[in-house]
Amino acid sequence: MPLLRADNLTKRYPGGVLALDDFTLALEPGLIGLVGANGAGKSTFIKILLGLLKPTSGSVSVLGLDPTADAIAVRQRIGYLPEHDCLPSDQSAADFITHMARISGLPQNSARERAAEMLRHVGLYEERYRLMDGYSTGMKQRVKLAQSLVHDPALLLLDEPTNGLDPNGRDEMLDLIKRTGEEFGISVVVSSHLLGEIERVCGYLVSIDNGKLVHSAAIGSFTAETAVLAVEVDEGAEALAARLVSAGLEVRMDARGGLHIGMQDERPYDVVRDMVAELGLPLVRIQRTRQRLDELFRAPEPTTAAGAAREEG
Amino acid sequence: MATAAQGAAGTIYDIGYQHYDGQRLGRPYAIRSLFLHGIGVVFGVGRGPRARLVPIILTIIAVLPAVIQAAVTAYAGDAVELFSYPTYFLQMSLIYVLFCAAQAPELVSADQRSRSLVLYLARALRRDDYVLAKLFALTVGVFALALGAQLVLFTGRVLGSLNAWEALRYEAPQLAPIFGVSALVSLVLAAVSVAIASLTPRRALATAGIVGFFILSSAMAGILREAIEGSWDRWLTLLNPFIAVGGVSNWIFEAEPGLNSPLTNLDLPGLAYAGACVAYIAVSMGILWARYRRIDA
Repeated sequence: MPLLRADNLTKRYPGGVLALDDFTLALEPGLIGLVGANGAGKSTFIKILLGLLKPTSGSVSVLGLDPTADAIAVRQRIGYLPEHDCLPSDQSAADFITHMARISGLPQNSARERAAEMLRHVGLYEERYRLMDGYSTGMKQRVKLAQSLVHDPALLLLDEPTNGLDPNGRDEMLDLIKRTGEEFGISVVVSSHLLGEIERVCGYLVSIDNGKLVHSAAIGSFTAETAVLAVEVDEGAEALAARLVSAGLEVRMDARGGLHIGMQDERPYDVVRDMVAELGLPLVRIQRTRQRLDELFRAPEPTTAAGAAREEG
Repeated sequence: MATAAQGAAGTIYDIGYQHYDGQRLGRPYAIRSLFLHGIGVVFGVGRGPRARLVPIILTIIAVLPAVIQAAVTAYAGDAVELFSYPTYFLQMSLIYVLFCAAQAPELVSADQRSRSLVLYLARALRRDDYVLAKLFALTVGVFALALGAQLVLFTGRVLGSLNAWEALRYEAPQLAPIFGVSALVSLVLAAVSVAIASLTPRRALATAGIVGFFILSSAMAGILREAIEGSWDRWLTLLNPFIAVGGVSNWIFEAEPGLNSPLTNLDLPGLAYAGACVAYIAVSMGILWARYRRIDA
């Protein structure tokens, strides 16, 4: 049974905004990253999985259930971390998580025990009786994670869990998510606009742009395809680009004149070295990188020979 | 030796993540939990001394006159009647409104402000469940205030009389109306207040809105009644929830409005008052339904 699947899922908001556009997808249990720029449709997708939003058309199933028809049954097995703040400031973390556990159906004593356990799991055991208005952003994100885990769900939906965290807090949160997914056997869908974060945590990557599914594959294959060779030269970038294109490489030039060359194999290294030497250009940088995510989402068409020629002209 | 000790300590502390395979209670339990939590919010339980201050003060003010009446009855008997069952509701209505104005925003606006509403809706609850649990929490809060005072009056009249047993038999038929009117008063006030509070995430604004609504509707009803006495305009006084509630109260207790009562001279049929109360509840529920249908989770 797949963890979740979407068939021709479309969501159009009353205002006319098309948030999801004919979205078809099937995912197996595991750690899944959902990547897309802000407004790409990640949150909409997550809310449809929760049954909080109804799709305009198409169907979706989560853990074998239909969230539009069986919302309660689905939600009992899902933990959700919203992207925005969602914690009352006038309660302690222990009280709040206990309360949330009860709303999820745990009897009072179990709720209290689970709340304490989860707060220990996220590293807030010492501070759990403090009112939450004194918490840092990092602590609040941990409480949000704890509340999503307290009823021991089969699936976690984490919407931008690293939002607003400093690099340190980001690392800790990502480690926590990775551990939760790998050691506890809970499937996790984690959304982010940063590909780097998803790469560190997830084994599978789904990318969305403008409500459309761009890519859905194991993370290894995805990053291999997006690997690029960044080349910078002080002058003659256009000439070099034209040469590289005629040598059969995919080349794209950014606004600052940097060249990004698609890397299906190791060949571009040699070609670039030879061409630069041939043209006698001052080479500043040659570096294998990954495409930046926002570039990826613009669905970069490799510059064609004609395009390069037009740029030259 | 040292490493062995550390290893042992490690196994003790690192118990790891435990799956939960205990009992999972369903939606009714979730609703009940939210309702009980709401009762706690209404009386400021478990959220610091400042949250408790307002409900405690208002509870004291709401019950104190009844205690005084009970004491007076004990000394002077029926001769001095400052408060009777039906008039008490009307006389205390301002206190009930303040109570609602203070606590309804804590119940519903606060969840919108902190945006924790979505955490409820992402659990085993429907939107309607959430609304009903919150509404009944406030209703029960006001009910406790209203009924408490009435029962103090009742106890005072029974124990203050020369023959307590005889008095109990005489007063006992009043118990059903006491419960009924207390329930009606609390439901009307709570429904209107929760509906108003649900419209804004800002607590202060919600409080002002609730107080403002009740004051304005009272003032308007008063003006309308002054304008043309005895005409059809008097029906417009039903725009004041207190008139509606007070009228039902007099109707059920089969009492005449006192001389200073805003109900004097209105002379509307009891069913009109009751209908107005039902309308208040229905319109409030309608507002709540529409609001929580549209609200962005």
